[in-house]
Amino acid sequence: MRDLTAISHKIVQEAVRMRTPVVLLIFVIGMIPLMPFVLRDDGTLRGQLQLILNYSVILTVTLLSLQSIYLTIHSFTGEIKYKHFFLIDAKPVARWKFLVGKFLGLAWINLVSLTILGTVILVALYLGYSQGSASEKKQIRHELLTSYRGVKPYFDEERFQKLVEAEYKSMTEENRLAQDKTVLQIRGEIRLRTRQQMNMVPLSFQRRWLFQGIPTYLRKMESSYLKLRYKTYCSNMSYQFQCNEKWDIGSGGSVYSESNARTVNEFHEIIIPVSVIEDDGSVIVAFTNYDEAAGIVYFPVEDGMEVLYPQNNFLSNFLKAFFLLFLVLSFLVFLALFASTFLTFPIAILFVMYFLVLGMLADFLLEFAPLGAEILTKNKDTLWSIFYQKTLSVAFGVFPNFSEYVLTGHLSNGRLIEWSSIAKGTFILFLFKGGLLILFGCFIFNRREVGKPTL
Amino acid sequence: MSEYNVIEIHNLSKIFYDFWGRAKVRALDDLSFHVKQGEIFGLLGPNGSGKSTTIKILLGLLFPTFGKVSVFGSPARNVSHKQKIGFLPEESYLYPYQNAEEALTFYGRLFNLPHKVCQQRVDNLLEMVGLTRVRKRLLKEYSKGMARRIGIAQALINDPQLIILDEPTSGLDPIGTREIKDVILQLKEHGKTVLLCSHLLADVEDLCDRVTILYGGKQACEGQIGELLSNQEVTQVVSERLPSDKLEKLKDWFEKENIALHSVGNPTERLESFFLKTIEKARNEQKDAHGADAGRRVEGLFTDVEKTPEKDVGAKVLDSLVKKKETRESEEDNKEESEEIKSANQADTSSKGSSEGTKVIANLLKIEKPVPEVGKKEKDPSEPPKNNEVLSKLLKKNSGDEEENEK
Ligand SMILES: Nc1ncnc2c1ncn2[C@@H]1O[C@H](COP(=O)(O)OP(=O)(O)OP(=O)(O)O)[C@@H](O)[C@H]1O
Ligand SMILES: [Mg+2]
Repeated sequence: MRDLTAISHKIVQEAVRMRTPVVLLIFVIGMIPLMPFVLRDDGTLRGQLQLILNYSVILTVTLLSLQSIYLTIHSFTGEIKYKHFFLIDAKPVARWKFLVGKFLGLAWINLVSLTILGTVILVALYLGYSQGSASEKKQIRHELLTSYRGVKPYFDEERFQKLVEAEYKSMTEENRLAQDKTVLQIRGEIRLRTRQQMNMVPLSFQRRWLFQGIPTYLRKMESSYLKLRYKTYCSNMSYQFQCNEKWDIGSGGSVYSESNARTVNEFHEIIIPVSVIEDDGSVIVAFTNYDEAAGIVYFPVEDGMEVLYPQNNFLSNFLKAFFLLFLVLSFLVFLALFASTFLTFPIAILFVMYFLVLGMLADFLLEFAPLGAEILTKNKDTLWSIFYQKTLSVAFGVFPNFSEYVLTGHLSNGRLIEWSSIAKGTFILFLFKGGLLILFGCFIFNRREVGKPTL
Repeated sequence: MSEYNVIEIHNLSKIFYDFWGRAKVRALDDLSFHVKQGEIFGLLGPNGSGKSTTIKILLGLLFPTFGKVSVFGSPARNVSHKQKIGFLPEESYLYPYQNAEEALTFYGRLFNLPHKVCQQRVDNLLEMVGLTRVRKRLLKEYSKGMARRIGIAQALINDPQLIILDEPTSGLDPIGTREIKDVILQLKEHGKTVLLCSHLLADVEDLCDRVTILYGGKQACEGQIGELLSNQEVTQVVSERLPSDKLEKLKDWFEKENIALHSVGNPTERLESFFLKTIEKARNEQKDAHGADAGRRVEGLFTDVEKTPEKDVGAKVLDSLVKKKETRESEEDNKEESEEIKSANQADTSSKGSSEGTKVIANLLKIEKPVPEVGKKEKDPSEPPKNNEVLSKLLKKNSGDEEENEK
């Protein structure tokens, strides 16, 4: 055990003597007081604080990622290049211990950095909050310094399947099936179309959604309220078009109604009193389209409507977010250690950066890559197209999608970070993917002739 | 000296391949030797002959291409037997951002030494290599020889059974060199096995029981140093000093018997000339040294020295050392003798004997029971001196000056 702690202690010592963490802390801490003067949002204090939170967390995770990658690779490849490792390998220290020791040291550095930076960010937020007026403070408490959990509307899967089947059948009978497409592709298209139709409200129609599983105890909490979060599209394509909407939320004696003109293609939140919650914890939401100028109103399938209810305080959400950041940084350390077992300094850095960028852009890539696959593999189930699709799905399984774990949006929108995210981060990203990397790393490193000089 | 082989190397070859898998260099070629427990074994050879490669293979830093290597009876890459090995590489390879104390503590912790034992050994070793006063200085600010001393200290931190030293005296001043040689001899007295690799033939001659000489990755010769250097062409008779009349009689007797009398001095050949001869012979035998070639010999560069009638001072010192060493070998237990050697070696120092040096090592290696209160400077006459005072005096003068400068 002493050998392990010696190795981890040494890399902390190295980092501290190189002063990277100190410089980094100064950078981030120095940025925070600058931000309120630089950043501009909707002019409210809430908007300002939201931005500060967003930017400082993103700055933290970016700089700490770079630091983790750099420190890991610099230290590891340096040991080999400058042959410090000769002296370690001549001691009774198994090579896996060297890797694990390095990881522990870097985990410690990240933990300390995250703690310091997290505290600084919290203090900055609190200072900003304390300067607000009473109404501003209230707004901040309800929209930023809180955490809500979202519920998606009830979806009748059975009915949906029936609709899809019926459509497919009628298309086959009427001979409307596209010849150049596979059955799977056609079914996919029908499903999408049907879902869109289910979220469509023609002029002077009303559509209703059922939200379930909202805790009824909230009805007793006077100060709390629900939020309806949604976004619309409509057939009127003019820029910043404002659609007249009518909402009726709840049923029976307690209905909350609201009519307003709201810009399409943007997220909106309607504050709903908790009294609309039914005894069984459900909430009925009805939307009426009465705007002639709008034409048909659509609710997107992705980013669909949600009812949000307050769940937890901000601090626990913040801690969860930072724990996830820690897992992401740990994964990067694993990746960097793995790369260092067989690559030299600059190449290992490039290698890890490549995965960092891919992981950061994963959402974007996930959105567009299937498109590419579709274009490339259109109508042909050739060997090449199958190969392409298979590699693509493997790649997306293997590449970690960091946006799943860097949940700044959740923090600044007061969205609860679910334990399932934490579990996913711990088991999939950290233990499984990270574990595999370190295992492969040990395997390669064990077979490496470290006595050979490197460039 | 027992018959147990600490290191066994059988038909070891090491080939370095290039990126495309083509053989590039044959650094070692069918090398076989063994090192017995308790002996000092010398690995000699010109630059690029494969000495460091052999050592790296012994430590698992490189893997053999062919052949078998075992250390303490297990394969070289076995982690657990490294508990018993101390290693000093060609260069010191220390972390520049650590200070001396941190570095030694770090290596001690890699051996899982208990905290107290580790601290005690660090203190003793720092004192032994004379760097106690600069223990807090970062290693990047150390001179080459100072760093080398830390390298030596770290090789001894685990009280090793086998010490592998790759050119231990490179970069050391003459005093440091002498000290390291003493340390090596003391280690041997404690039954440790030493594998020594050096170009400095005087060092090897002073220290080693057996040597092997490599040339171009091949073994040029191997054997007991005494045997290798003994001259079979002549007979040496050693007697007490003969008065001149008796000597004349003896000479007459030789003349009468028709036996050529070469000299009445010491017939031992010097290692340096033996080494050069061996290399010359090996060069003639194997025209192609498989890439691992030694530098060409510039005619007259070394021979001039040999032929010079007036031997230089260094050679004289070596001669005297060799003579003394023989005496030592014959009467190993004789304390008075070894004291004499000491004073001969350290002509300019006072009468403190080498037994103290032995005691330092003994002290160093037996610190499982930590000495209470290291910091206390109080002198207890019953306590054995912590250091080889002769050596440390010399050193303290040196580092004491530095301390003054720092102030
Ligand atoms: N990684 C390597 N790739 C190719 N050749 C190598 C490599 N390492 C060592 N060699 C070659 O192997 C030979 C032996 O090198 P080695 O370092 O063992 O020599 P040495 O006897 O220690 O020399 P010196 O006295 O200069 O320290 C040299 O010719 C060297 O160029
Ligand atoms: Mg060498």
